[in-house]
Amino acid sequence: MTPPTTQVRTDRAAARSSDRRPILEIRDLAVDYGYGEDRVHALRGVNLTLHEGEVLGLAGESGCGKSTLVYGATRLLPPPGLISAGEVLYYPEDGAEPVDVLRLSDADLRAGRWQDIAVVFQGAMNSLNPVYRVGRQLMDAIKAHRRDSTSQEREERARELLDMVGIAPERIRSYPHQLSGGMRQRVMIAMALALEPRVLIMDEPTTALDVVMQRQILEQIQDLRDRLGFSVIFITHDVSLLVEVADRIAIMYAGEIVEEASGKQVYKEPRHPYSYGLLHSFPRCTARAVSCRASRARRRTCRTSPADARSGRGARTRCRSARRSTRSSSRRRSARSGAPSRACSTPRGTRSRPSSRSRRPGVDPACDDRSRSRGTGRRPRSGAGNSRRSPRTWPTVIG
Amino acid sequence: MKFLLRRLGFYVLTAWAAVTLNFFIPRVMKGDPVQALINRYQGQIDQDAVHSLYVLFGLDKKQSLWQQYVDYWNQILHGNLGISFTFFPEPVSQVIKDALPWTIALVGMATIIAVVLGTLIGTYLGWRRGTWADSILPVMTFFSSVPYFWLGLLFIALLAIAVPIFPANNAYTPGMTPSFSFAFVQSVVQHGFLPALTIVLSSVAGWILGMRNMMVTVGSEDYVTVAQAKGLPERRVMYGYAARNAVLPQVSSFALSLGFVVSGSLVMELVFSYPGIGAQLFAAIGAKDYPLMQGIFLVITVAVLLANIVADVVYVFLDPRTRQEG
Ligand SMILES: Nc1ncnc2c1ncn2[C@@H]1O[C@H](COP(=O)(O)OP(=O)(O)O)[C@@H](O)[C@H]1O
Ligand SMILES: [Mg+2]
Repeated sequence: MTPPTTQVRTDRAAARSSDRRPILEIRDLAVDYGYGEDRVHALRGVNLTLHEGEVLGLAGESGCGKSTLVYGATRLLPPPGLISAGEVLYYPEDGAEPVDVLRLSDADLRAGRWQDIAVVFQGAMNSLNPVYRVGRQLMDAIKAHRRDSTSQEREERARELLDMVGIAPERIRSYPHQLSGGMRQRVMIAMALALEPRVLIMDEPTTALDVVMQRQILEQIQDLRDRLGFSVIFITHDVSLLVEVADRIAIMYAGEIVEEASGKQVYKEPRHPYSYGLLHSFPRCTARAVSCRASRARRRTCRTSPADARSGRGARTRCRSARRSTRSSSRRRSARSGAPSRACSTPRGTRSRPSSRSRRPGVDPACDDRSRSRGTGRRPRSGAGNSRRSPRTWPTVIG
Repeated sequence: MKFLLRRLGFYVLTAWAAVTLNFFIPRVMKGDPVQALINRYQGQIDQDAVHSLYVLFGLDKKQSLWQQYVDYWNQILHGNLGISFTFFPEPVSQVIKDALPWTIALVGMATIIAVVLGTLIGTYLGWRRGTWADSILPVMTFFSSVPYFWLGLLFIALLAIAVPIFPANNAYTPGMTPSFSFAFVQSVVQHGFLPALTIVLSSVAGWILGMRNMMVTVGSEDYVTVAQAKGLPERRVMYGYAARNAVLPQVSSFALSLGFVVSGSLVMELVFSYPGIGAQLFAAIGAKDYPLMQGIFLVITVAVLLANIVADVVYVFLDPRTRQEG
């Protein structure tokens, strides 16, 4: 699945990333939706660092807070979203002291937007204003930040940008509804690159597209990054895709980063059961293998939503019921196969890359305690959310 | 272009249906308006004149219905709407021509002010949702929920009688001859102020609410978030992205309300004794003046249709999605 060449590259990149300068550092970012008793803790202290020139992959199931992280870090949270804690440090180009984006003045914030950090939002389909021509929307960003540019220069740049993402430059005269979904997506990518930002955040930029289009766009992004050298946070729920493109991968689960490692590591030895589930929920080879592998992976992970987690019981209650149902069926199965059921804890290094053999019933990804505390990067806080972190609250996984 | 042509075809059809309806309604109604007129001018009209009246009013029993219909169309297309009974022998078209400008100027102006004001306030309220400014809304809604005649009388009582700043009725000081002199224009503005104020007060809440709600809806659209993320100045985002798109429904309701300017002023013109088309319609109904009623209905129909056409054209300019470019 992963071509060897890519893997070598990501390895080198991962090795390099540690001694690179950070460019964006998210510290303990917490975001709530709503107020008072009913609020939803969408992010519960996220720590994430993006280094210069790095592609950082962020994966996680739908609803785990990936987009919230984007909005929070760029101060674009729609109401009723509120940042309740944390810092977002941006390291300027000239090596000066980092600035906290969350504490910038309104004018400074606007000046820095798009110039420093540009975003391709999840709904790229609806990211273009239907009443303006594409060109105008490309140009007004340039106009806002490069006041002294002439309109000819801006138009020239808009054509160049479209050309760069593989769209005919004449399309600056088109209205968004005259473009296909893939073209709109590319326009948004072109728009994000208009000012050559140092950080590009892409929130599921390819999810709505077919596989061929996905690949094309991905290759384009990689190509552009190699040429322009910006740093990327690439968000998707397709981990197998990330393994290919990302230097480092962070896995998010219920508003927290639960695992952070190089792409290769995550792929070889996922330490969090959810990472494992994500990795192996993708179909391969024969239809039969596909269906049973996918359903097994689904069973192993336990979906939770911040709304449930709010009370601090969410994951547990949901997992318990999940456990009950899996237990009865798995007992039957293990009786048949004769394999012993085993739960939890496979320290890193003791297990080789999960082959199709080792993924037979009974052998399972770990609920490694160490990985979790490393993943979140701090000790559990006291309070309601605490019980969620005890080992028992993770699904006891039985093949 | 194709879109507009299709719409135009639709309007022509509607206009034809309206005129045909206008032709038939008085003919199926009971009562003989000519007889009523003859009674009024007892003995002064001889038999020949009575016959010509029947022909003139389109009530000639000897003609076939089809012939009457053809004649009717012929008359309308020549701007001949018959002769008014109440203002006999003045033709209907003249009566309408005298009354229409007053209504259009006053109610049209008031509507435009209400729309512009309401849309601006609504834009602001929708953008800065949840601030103190939201308290404007209940006040405005109060004015629009009060029956209009009551609001009109209240303002007459307050600003024309208790504190006589503004005149309570008429369109200009009686005795003045209409002209474009300063004194006359001043008199017209003074007389129009209270009616316009009450119209604006009673209708602005609807425009505020409509715009505010659209701003809230559009404000959460992705392209507005993108505009913010691009670091555009806040005013550019607010007007260029949010309000620009939120105003589209306002434009169509505005065009529709322009159509009803002609008809919608009846109560105002009665309360303020304003010599507009609404007052004429009221008088025509009271006097069973069928030609005048027909004429006014026709004007209203045409006004509504024209307003719709304008709305369509403007919409095509404002929203590229309605354009069908090749
Ligand atoms: N406007 C909102 N109001 C309340 N809850 C929200 C809102 N937006 C998102 N959420 C909640 O926050 C969580 C994270 O959402 P999101 O960041 O969109 O997830 P992802 O992008 O990973 O799919 C979701 O569980 C969702 O229910
Ligand atoms: Mg999302």
